[in-house]
Amino acid sequence: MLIAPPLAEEMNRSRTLIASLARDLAGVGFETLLPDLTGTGDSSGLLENQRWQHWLDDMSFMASWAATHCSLPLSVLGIRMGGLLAANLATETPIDSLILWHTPADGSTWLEHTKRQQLATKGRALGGKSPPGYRFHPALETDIAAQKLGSQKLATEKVLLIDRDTAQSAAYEEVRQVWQDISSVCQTLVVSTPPYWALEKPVICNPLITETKLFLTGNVP
Amino acid sequence: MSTQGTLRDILRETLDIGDRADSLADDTPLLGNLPELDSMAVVEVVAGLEQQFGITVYDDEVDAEAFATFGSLVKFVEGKQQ
Repeated sequence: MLIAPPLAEEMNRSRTLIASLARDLAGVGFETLLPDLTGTGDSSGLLENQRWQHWLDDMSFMASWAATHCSLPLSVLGIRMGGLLAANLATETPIDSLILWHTPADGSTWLEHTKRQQLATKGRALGGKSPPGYRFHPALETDIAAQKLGSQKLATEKVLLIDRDTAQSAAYEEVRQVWQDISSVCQTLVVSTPPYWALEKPVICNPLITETKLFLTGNVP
Repeated sequence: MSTQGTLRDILRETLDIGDRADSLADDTPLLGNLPELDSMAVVEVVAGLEQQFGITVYDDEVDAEAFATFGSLVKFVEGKQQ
């Protein structure tokens, strides 16, 4: 399985959960690939120079690499904004299944959310410790704001959308119907979890891991 | 459910603080007392408030005054509901 990671500080805070998922999947024979997108983590490049297309190219490269190095059909798990990257990847690269965790149906919502957090940090209005700010290129922000789930015709037959509450239920149902009509068998699921991407302490969400594993193992021929 | 009860559940679920949410009283400090409550978590709490109480919170309202104590956050929400 290839992971399209969350962006910025959300990736750092999700790392323990992702590692835990990967260990669990390894136990049932799945390999997991977690790339550091260009300009993030240990990858080369500066974050502020990156564009959406660079990260899409990274994901395409990883999908090709997986096709030649991994034995099982390729599934992609997109987490938070990574879900929109994964959905874009799945329009041009045939994959076995697509799973999205807590992906905003509209990229502009994520951008507003992130900017609000940066404002709270910058103004020191809240005092105390805060995560570092991340600088995005204005063109990347424009691209992020333009991302919408459901606008893609997917080259995959199976999709699972997981959210932590019902806040996006109406939007997810719309996406589900669109994808179901044009391309894929699409399920939505609410799994109650804390917002692990926003919490400094590591959070392991076992029900989330279990549901993901069930979906993946159910898909193995 | 009362504002207090709903708010307690939002904090419990968003900050993953379990039973600690039950001991929140009006004078319990939030910022500086709950280590989970940094700027990223605050934004998630605000999103929870907006969703659960059907209110709109503006960026300049997300400040230390509203998040000083459990009681000040209850007041903030009740003020937005009027």
